[in-house]
Amino acid sequence: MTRKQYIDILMSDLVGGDMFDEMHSSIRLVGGLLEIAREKTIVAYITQKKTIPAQLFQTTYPIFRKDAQYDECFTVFNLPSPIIQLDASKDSIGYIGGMNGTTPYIRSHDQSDYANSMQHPIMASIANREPVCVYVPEFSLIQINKTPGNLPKRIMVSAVFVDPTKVPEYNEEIDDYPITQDIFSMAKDYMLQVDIKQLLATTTDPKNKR
Amino acid sequence: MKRGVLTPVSLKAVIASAKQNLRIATTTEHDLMLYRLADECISQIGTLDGFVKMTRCFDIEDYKFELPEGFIRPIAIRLVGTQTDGVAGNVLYFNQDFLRQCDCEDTQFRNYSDLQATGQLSDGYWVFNTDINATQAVMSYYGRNLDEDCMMVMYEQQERAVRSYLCWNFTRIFYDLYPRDVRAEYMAEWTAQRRYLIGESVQRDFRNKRQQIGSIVSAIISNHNFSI
Repeated sequence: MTRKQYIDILMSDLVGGDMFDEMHSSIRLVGGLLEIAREKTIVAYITQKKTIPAQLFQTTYPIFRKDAQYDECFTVFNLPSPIIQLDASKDSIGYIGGMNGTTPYIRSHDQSDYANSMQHPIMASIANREPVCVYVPEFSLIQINKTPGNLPKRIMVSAVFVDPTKVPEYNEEIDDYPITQDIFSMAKDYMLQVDIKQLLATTTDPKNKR
Repeated sequence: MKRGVLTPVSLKAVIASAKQNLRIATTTEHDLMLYRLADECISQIGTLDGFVKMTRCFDIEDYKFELPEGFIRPIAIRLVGTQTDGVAGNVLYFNQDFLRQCDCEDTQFRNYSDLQATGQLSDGYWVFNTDINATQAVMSYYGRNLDEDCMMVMYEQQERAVRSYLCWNFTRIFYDLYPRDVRAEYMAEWTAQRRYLIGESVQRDFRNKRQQIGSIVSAIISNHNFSI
């Protein structure tokens, strides 16, 4: 099902069916809320089930940043959207590696983990032989470290992105929205409990004396 | 694909299968640590398959040459340039104590100088005691079985032991993710596999060792390649 079909279901279930909305503002609002609910629900779902459903992954070819490249040490790639962080030690990256999809690069959790690994001769020897990548969540980028040599300039990434619509390879009109049925129903419940409740809530007016 | 008990298996292959067992096949985040553990495991197995006899040619500079990676002890040294018409000269040095330990025939080397008379091991170098004319030396030595990246070479027979060692240590490190009995099972598997490998290795070495050392001695005297 496409994103629009999911939004139609939400509009129907949450707001009561057909609406005349010339500016499509409700659709944009519900779409934005769906992305937020999807992220929160995925984190809860994976924490409980301990596995990431394959439908959630999206594959992209991140943009190589020539300006930030330092050939002797590392190359940098921009991701279209941040990647969903499951907890402090785990994110939802499935694959970072060569364009053929069968040569995954070794990952370090962060730059300090990489620096620590370099202190051991065996790990340093492996890291000097193969590309080691680091995902930097603050800037949504991937840095590939290696000693002088063939630094990769084209890579493939498969991950669960926070905003799937920002992935350039995703076509909103025809591609399936990266969500499963159970996660969607959990997201719908979440939206009903949190977002829609807030939208429909009548706030007290302290200025009104009557 | 080659299959056999002494077919080398890459560390990458055993790490991939261990990751499947640990259900972390979708991430490469722990690969560096797993490489370190795998290398550590092969050293820890302690079987004689982890050691090999090798011969290499070294450039002599300032009356010394750098010892190779994985070097443990020398067997013999022949100085290059001390031969005439393809016949090796008499500038041969044997580690006679070690060869006697290996039950080699004393008659093969007793007429040559002892290795200790020519030089000594010092800070990763073989340093000659006296002034020598040769620019190169051929040394047969006993060392660790390393690949071109200086990682321990693993054989197909050892794969199960290394995998269980990786799984045991990984479940120990991430103890909150795996139940205690899983850790205990991996440890039991590792212990049993290690015992099996040591037993197998001792048997095989008993058959081969004397013949191998003997062939090295013959080859270095006659300046031919030896085969193991």
